[in-house]
Parts: sequence; structure tokens; C-alpha cells
Amino acid sequence: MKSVSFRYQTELHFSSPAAKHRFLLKILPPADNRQQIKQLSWQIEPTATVWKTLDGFGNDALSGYIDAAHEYFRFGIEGSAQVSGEPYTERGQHTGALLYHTELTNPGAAIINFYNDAKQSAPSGILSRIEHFSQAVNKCLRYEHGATTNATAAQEAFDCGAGVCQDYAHILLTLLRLDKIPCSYVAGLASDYGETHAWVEAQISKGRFCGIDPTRNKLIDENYIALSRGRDFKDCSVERGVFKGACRGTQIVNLKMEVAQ
Amino acid sequence: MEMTTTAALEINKLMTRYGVKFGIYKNGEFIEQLFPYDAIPRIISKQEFDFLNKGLVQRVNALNCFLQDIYTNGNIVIDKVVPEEFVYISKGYLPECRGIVPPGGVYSHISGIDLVQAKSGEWFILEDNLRIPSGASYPLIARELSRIGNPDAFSDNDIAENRHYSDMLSNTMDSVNCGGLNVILTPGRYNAAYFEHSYLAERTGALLVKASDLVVENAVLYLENYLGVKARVGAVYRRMSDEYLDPMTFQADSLIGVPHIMDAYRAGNVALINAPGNGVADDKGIYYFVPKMIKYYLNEEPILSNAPTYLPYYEDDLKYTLDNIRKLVIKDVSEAGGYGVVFGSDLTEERLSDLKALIKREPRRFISQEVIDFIDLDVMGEDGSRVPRKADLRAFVLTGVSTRVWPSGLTRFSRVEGSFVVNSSQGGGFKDTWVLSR
Repeated sequence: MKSVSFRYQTELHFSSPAAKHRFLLKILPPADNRQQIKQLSWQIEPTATVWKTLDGFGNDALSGYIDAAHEYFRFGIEGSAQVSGEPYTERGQHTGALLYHTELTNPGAAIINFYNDAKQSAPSGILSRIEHFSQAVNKCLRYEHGATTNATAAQEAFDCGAGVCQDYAHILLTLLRLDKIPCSYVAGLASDYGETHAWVEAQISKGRFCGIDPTRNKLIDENYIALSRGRDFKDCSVERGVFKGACRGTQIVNLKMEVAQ
Repeated sequence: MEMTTTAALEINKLMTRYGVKFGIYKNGEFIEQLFPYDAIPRIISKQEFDFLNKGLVQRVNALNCFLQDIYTNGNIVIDKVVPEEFVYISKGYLPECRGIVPPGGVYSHISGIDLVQAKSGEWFILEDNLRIPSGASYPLIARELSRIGNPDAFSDNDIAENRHYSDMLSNTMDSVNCGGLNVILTPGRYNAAYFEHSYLAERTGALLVKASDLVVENAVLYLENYLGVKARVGAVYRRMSDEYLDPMTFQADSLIGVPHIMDAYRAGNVALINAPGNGVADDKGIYYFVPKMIKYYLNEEPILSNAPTYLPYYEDDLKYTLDNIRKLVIKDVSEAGGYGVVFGSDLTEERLSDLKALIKREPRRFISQEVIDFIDLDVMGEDGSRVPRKADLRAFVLTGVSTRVWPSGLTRFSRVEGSFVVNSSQGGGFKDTWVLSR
């Protein structure tokens, strides 16, 4: 276990004031065997009515609203944790929907062909098999901001040949689900990344999951703090909101994460 | 009886006057149309209704057990009574609802169970509707208007009272109310069943509200008036689909939902009628397993039968379906409202072969059923003569403290000779259903 401090903040600026703003933030890191949260505080501005809630995937979340007109919306967390260098998380035995494709992970013919090829040389051991597929994903995609959006499905990103961490994670989820391995999308913080990151947790034995980052092609370690888990990006979106106002938003993200050596 | 039938034209006129309509969207356009009423009632004997009553209560109780199980422990899947993929691939399964046990443990408060009676007299369940089944208001208002026109028909014929549907519905809402008002949440007048929303609100005393009337604060739902005064809401009979209910949980761009209503629901501060996520239990693929659920949860033999159904997912059933496709009806499990239903006998060789290939490729997507030659009921033709038309029955089963069947129902009939498709969205009409009281 290593001590990790983290600070994450997002700011949305509206082109004209927004009002009657309702939001849901999935920014509270869960405490589990891999990451023990020692200190945690959250900030939301302007002043909002906020309450804690839970989603169907077991993630804590912050719900709230701001009725008054406002030109910016800032939210973030700050805290410290003891984080394991091992990638394993004990998560209970219910895998339910984690074995099945969603709209964002549904494979088209090209990914199925890619999976069939990758499967030929896949080792039989579960962990090395997961690493094998992660490596295949890492090789098939070029990291490129702006090539995709947060609504891009795995098949579209695969066809495009480029994407960001979310796309790497979706394609790996597709391959693992084709291989009948229950797996989840993880949204979280990673050091040296500068914004929220995404990776995958795959079940290696009943109730035991291994975190793997296909973007960097490595098992996760103390440089990773999970914020939420789900079937795909949609379940883990850091921020959801509705408001009144004919405005567009621009977003600035700040992330600082330090691992004590 | 004859007076009632001669009054049909007048009753249809009155229903037009009262806005007893339903709307459909066709090519992006909202078209409101009359739901044609036929004044010759369907008559069900007391003995027959008693039998249906037992079977329907049993079925709905088992379906409620299934829903609680699926959204908590999933024992029926672990025990391999229902294959896992039938649950988790279903569009109706909402993992967002996992872990929620609603007030009173009731998921399907208002169940619309569609039945047909074969020419042999045997009843078969065709479909379970556990999301937001509509239709009760049509026979209710038709009976009300008929009663005005011909009160003697009802006093002379020992017909079971059906006007207490609104009391049954109020009792159901009260039984799960978490403290506060009962409201009926409507998407608005451009919803297909807006007449029903307003009619049931008037009859039950619940307030008819739109999403803009409701706010959630600290996981509690309130009705907010134009002065900003808030009154707590304890039960919501919501008449909108799950995906639009809460943009914070489901479809993020829904403008007709109530942000954070799922927080209030998950916290046990409000009852949602019916529970979100019920679609997993009325999926056409899951239908096959309902008799198995009855045995699994209630340890009873099913009283009412399913129509003989095959799941191409199973190899034997796939073979049977492909070998006998010409005499079967094939249903796409993801479709509703009479869409995605194909009779093998209606298809050309070319289309049959395309359909076979599709079933082989996506076996989970289809079920096949023997065609039940269900009974024709007399309907008044345009010239006033009686003509036989295929008809089904939607029974309404309400669950609160206990499960009760409304002694009436919506009898829908096809207006096309020989056609088995009775859905209102496909041009069907309706009749009142008289259950005899002795």
C-alpha cells in the first residue's frame, strides 16, 4: 500500500446564464480492499442543495440542484488514500449484466473478426488471456484526442483506428465479453493523465476482479484511483445535468495526483 | 341488450365529445383517433371468471416474485430455471434498478394480462403487460355511458359492478404510498393515452401532474405550485416509459422526466407505480418461463396455460420452428403493440427463407407459437348486422396489500374479417366485458 493524495476539479463555463440546474456527480471514490480512502472532501460551486445517493451499480454519487442563474459550475474532490500496488479488487459474486454487451460495446463484424484472430494466439490462463486482449487493443488503436466523442461505440472507434482511453476500454470490454469474461468499465483518476481516465476490471475468479489499462497496456497499480464502475461509459459518466438556458458550455479539468515514494 | 346495441352510435358520439381517444405516431406525426366501440358486450360467466381470477392472481404474484428476485439475488438465474442471457440481454432489464425493493415489495401494481379463448373453450395467456398497461378507462367510460342510456340492462342482467376500478386503483396507490399525495404523472396531451391519464386522475382523486410540477430535494419528491409552495408526494402512478422517467438515471436528454426521481424511489421516499425495470418480466422471451416461475416461487401448478411456445434459443425448438414455420406465428421479442408479429402462412417462399435465416442467426430474438384459433365474437357491422370478429381480453390485475382482478376488462377485436391482430394501434376496436355476478 502507498499513500496517495489526489485533487480533481472540473469547471463548466456557460456562454449565458444557466438556471434550474439539476446534476448528478459520480466523483466519490469507493473504499475497497485495493483503495482505502483516508480523507475525502468535495466542493461544488455556486452554492447548491446537495445530497448523497447510490446508483444501481453500487456507486456513491452526489445529486443536487442550483435554481438561481449562474455562469459557471465547478465541482471537485480532494483527499488521500492508501492504494495497493496490486490490481485486484474483491467485489462480491454477482456479475449480472457485466457479461453482456451494451449499445456502446456491441460488436460489429470487424471486431468479431479481430476477436477471432486475437483468440487464436490467446493463452488459456485467465490473467494472461486478459493481458493478451489488452495488448491487442493497445496495438489496434492510436491515441488521439478529438477522433471520437463520449458517445462513440466500440465498433466505431475500432473502425476509426483512433480514440481515447474510453474507446480503448470499450473495445477491451467487447473482446472480453465475446470471450465470456465478465468485466466492467471503470472511470477514475490516474497520475500523469491530466483528466479523468478509464480502464477495465475483468473477473479472474468468483468475486475477484483484476484492473487493466488498455491505453497504457498495463495492470493497474497505486497510480490508479477508481471513482465508479458500470457496464460502459454511460454508467460511469462523471457528470450528468440538465438546466434551463440557451447556452453552450466549455469545460476545464484540473487533476493532480501524487503517489508518495 | 338490444337497446344498448342500438345506442352504440350515440355512445361513440358521446365518447368523441368526451375526448375518449388514443393517439398514435405515424411517420413522425401525432394522429389522434377514436377507439371504435362496439356495443355488443362480451359476457363471461361467474364460474369462468372465478377460474380466470385464480389463475391471474397466481400468475401476477409469481411475476412480482420474479421481479424482486431479479433485482436482488437473482436466485432463479443461479438455479438455471431461466437462462441468464434472457434476463440480462432483455431491453426491459434495467441494471440501474438493481438492489431496489419498492414499498410493500410490489413491482407490478397494475398488470394487464392479455388472454384469448380458443374455440375449445380453453383460455390461453398471450402476453403479460407489466410496464404501464393502458386500457381500463375505455370499458369504464363505455359502461358509464351505456348505463345512462339503458340502466335496465344492468339491473336486469346480474352484471358484476365494475365502477369500483378507481377505488381499487386508489387503494393500490394508498397501500404503497410513502407519505404524501398520490399523483398521476403524464407526459402531456400528446401522449397516446392522455385521455386515460386525465380520466383516472378525476376518478381516483389523484392529482394529474407533469414533470415540471415536481421537484426532488434531499431525495424526497414534492409537488411545487406556482408560488413555490411544496407538498410531499408519496406515490406516483407514472404514465411514461422507464427510459424517459429520470434524465439523471436513464435517457439523459429526456425533457419529460423528473430529475432525481430515482433517488427518491431508491431511498424509499416515494412509490413508483409500476416499478421501473418491469419490462424484464413481460419480455416475450421471458413469457415462456412464466409457468416455470409459478412452480419455482409458489410451488404450484399453473392454473392458466401459455399458448404453446417455442424458443429457437433451444436447439430442439429451433428445429421445430424451422420445420413448421408455415403453421406458426413468429414474434420478435423486442417489439410490442402488435408489431413484429408474422404469421408463417402469410409469407412467400422467399420471405420464409429470409425469416428462417434470421431466426438461425439471432435465435434469442424470436419466439414461435402455435396459432390459436381463438373465438370470434359478434360485432355490429356497418349495416347494423352482426358479424364475427376475432377478439382477445385484457384483464386488469391490481396488487397492493393483496392481488385482485377487476371483474371486467378490455375486450379488443379486429375490425378485419379473419384477422388475429386486435391491437388498437392496428385499427382494432373494443367492447365492454360483462362478468356475470351469479
